[in-house]
Amino acid sequence: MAGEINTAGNAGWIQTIAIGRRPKRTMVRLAVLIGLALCLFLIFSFVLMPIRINGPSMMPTYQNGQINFINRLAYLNHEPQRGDVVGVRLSGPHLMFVKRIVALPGETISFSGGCVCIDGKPLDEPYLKFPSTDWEAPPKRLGPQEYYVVGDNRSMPFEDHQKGATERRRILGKIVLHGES
Amino acid sequence: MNKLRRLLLIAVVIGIGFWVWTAWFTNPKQVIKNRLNQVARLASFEPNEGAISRLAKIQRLGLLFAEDVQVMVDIPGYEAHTFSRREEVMQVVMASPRLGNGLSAQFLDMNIQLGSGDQSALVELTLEAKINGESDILAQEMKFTLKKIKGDWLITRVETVKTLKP
Repeated sequence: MAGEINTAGNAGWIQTIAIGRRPKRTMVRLAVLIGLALCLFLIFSFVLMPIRINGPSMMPTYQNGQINFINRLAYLNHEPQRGDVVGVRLSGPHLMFVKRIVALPGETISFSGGCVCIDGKPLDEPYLKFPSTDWEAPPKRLGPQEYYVVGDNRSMPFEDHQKGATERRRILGKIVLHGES
Repeated sequence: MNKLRRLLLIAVVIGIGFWVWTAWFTNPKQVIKNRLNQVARLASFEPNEGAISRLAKIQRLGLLFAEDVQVMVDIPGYEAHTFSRREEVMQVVMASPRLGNGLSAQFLDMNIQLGSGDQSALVELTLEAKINGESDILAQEMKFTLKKIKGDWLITRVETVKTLKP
């Protein structure tokens, strides 16, 4: 008899640990937690993609190793703008370039004496802290779906800096946290 | 108890059926994915990995390429190169001075398109490579063409893709 009472007592204790004293309330809490986890998973997978900056090309605006987010809904209502810092995907979203848009579709871009020229006129770039004096490139006309992206660190050698025209479909979204300005 | 046994038996039968299905009717996309992951593993080297181990890896790597493979490499900041034939590719990998430092490579975001009759495939992917001791990673978009040659998927063409067109 004593053994039976003890077993029942143990079962009750385990049940209390597993589902609490009020099972209905525990289920509600569990559902809320699962819902919250699912929401966070969906947000961080499809809306705010977490990224870690690697490399010096966006310095000093964004430092190597910094964590940031790409807002994938940023361009639902409007097209990317000049000056936006965007994520440009490679073959998929797991690795991307973080660059600034300096030229828009249909424009002609060139580099002259380190300055970006759009349709022959120098572009005002107040965000530049590491400007260049020797970047040179002949005029290049962008296609109707092409944007020209470049990093903020223009003190790098021209050849070592990844920059160029990219198609609209490759632009995943806009960076969320502003860097040093 | 009988019910439990029946359920267990059904689970076992389903498990065996699934295994037979995947073993006999292998999805070509999965085979190609595994093949390319194998390429990345064999192209990764530990720092100070022994010469014999490195040589063995490169030999195995070579077997994943067709004899007349074409490799076109054009990475910003480096000179463009074209290699044809498997032996040349293996020699280039063997002679690479940076391998001694250790290199880890992996392929991400593979987009596999099968050709007609599932006899060829075009794969777009991103190479992520890190040389031991260097803080920057190399991120390079690439295109691989594979063909089924004598029942085996072999790489016939490799080319780098310019994500940002200068």
